[in-house]
Amino acid sequence: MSPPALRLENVNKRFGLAHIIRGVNLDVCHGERHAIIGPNGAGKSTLFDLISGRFSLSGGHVFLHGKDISGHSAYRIRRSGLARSFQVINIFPRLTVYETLRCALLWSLGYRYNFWRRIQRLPEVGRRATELMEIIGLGAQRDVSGAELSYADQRALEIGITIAGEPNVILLDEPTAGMSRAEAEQAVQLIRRVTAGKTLLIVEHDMEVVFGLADRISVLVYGEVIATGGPDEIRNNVSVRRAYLGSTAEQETSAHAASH
Amino acid sequence: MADRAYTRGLSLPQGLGPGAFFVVSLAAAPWVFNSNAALTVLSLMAVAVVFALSYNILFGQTGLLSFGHAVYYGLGAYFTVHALNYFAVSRIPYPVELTPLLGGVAGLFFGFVLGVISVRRAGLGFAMISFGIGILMGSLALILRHWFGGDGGLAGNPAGGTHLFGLTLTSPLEIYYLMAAWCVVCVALIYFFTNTPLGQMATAVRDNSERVEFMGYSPYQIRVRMHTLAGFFAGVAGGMAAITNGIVAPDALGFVLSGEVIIMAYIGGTTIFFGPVIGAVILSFMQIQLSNYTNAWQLYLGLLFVFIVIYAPDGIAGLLKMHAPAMRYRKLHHLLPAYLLVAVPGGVFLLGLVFLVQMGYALHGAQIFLTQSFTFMGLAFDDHSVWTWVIGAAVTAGAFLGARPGVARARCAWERITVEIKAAQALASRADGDTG
Repeated sequence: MSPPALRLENVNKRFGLAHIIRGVNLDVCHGERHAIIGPNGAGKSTLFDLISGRFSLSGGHVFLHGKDISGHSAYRIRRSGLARSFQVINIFPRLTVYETLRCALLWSLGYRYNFWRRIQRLPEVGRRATELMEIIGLGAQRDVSGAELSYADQRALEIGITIAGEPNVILLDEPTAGMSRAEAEQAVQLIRRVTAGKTLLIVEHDMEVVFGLADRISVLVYGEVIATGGPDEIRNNVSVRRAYLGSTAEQETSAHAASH
Repeated sequence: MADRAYTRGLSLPQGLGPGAFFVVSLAAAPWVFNSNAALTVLSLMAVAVVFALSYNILFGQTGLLSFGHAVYYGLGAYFTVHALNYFAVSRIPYPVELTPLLGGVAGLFFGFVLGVISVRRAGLGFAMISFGIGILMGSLALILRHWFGGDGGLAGNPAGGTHLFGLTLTSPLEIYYLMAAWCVVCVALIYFFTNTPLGQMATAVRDNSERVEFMGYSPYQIRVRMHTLAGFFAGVAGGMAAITNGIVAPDALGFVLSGEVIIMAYIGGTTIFFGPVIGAVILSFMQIQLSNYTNAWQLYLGLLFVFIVIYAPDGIAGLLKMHAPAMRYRKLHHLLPAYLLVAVPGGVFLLGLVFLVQMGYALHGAQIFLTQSFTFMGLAFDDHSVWTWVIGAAVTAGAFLGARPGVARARCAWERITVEIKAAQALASRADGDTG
């Protein structure tokens, strides 16, 4: 049996005295769409930061296709085929959409720190960047700089950067944050399309998105995974309802009552 | 769509126009400025152009604010002078014309070594380390007096040794054309590098070094390479200066020069490829020519710098580029009346300001040279009279206020043509969509 695409083994993170991630174990299989849900402050983004090498682990191991990547730098992990997006827009304010995507492609196409070839003369780079631009629906915004894009377009570019160069494990951190219903639906379509056949780990607050997209769901509460399973399992899990879904429902009810 | 050389990362000139203009003006300059002194000034401008562009590899392109860039320039100059003196007496037929290359190699080496230890962090960390390295090298130059020639520096004669193409490097004209050739080669190379994968990634590192890591790149590796490249071109510039001046002193790696290169790049515009070229020409001109007329030239330079930092952060090149869309859509004539309304009182204001500053200097000078009298534009003024000061200040202040209606009008005109250009662009893209 081949190892899972991504495996977390007793992953821990402490910031000083604060124990943010408390022994998380998680397996994500090849081609699986796995969602992580949980209340604010549960440590979802921190978990992504640990997997992608943004933060160092305080304990435990991360395996990518069976290979231990714990302690590797972020760029090394990206080179091993794991890419991530960010919850807060994290793009290049002064680079255009086209330039940004070209940059995102360069390493995987093997150009590294090349300084003797003109970038305009690298045919695959231009072609692939243009393709990518069409896929994320920014074809008309080719020469618009990151800072001047609309919010939804910035989110699309965020995804474009992440999927550039065909990573096989993709981590998306709240890709629909701050979007309207219609925009979120479009974003989900996009995510489905670009992650087809790949392994996806997604943090998402929008439950409609989660239950529509995910094959399996893990619930993270106070740095611990309290449940993992298919959408129906999670929906009907009592402790999950109490810890997360229930609390939102209660809040909504009380908010509803208060407004009357 | 054809793959255009379109870059916001570091705005690059489109087509051959600006490059051809640059080469032609370099080639033609000696016909206009043909005295020996003027030719030396032009040679030093060519040096400054290379130096300023090498600085912008760090600052404008990679986002590394260096306070010690003269270190690489100075070391390049010293290595070149040592090479000149060595090849003048040795049997190795290395042509003098190519010695700036050795300065470049020295700059490359130190750019790499010092880059490795200083570019781990960008921002304040790098700025402070580069400042520290500047201090270190400056004091080293005064400790290793033999190698650096002490306070007086080291002389080297470019006329000795072997030469290429039958050159002798004895006339300022020959030296100028050699400097112009080096300048063209360096500008072309620096331009080329901005368009390579490394050059493009450098702009990405400048904008968001963290995200670059999640593209598979190490920002540190990119910064080291860019720092090395910048060191190389600064070293070449130093070598060019050594040949032009025939001497190099420790101030070639000092703070003043490190500061001046920042000012050059900034005044010209760091976000645009040719910006630092403009800045280099302006600063060299002020430094060499304006300083003949007034001791206050540094004050004027400072005023210009402050003005640019506050009102035109993209420099003079940025101001020019701002007008490109207006020109393309033939809207420039809407701006001209307003600009004229600003230019007339603005000119009076500047004259008034210069008048006051010069009079201040004259008053100060009068305490030293009692016989000196103050003349401005051929007229004598009494700098000891309160009335001269009051009237001068009143005219200056009045002109400043008088420029305000023009500024307001220019703003209105800008708003109007911005809207019009947007409408024209929308129309054009719709037409594009119909045909395509």
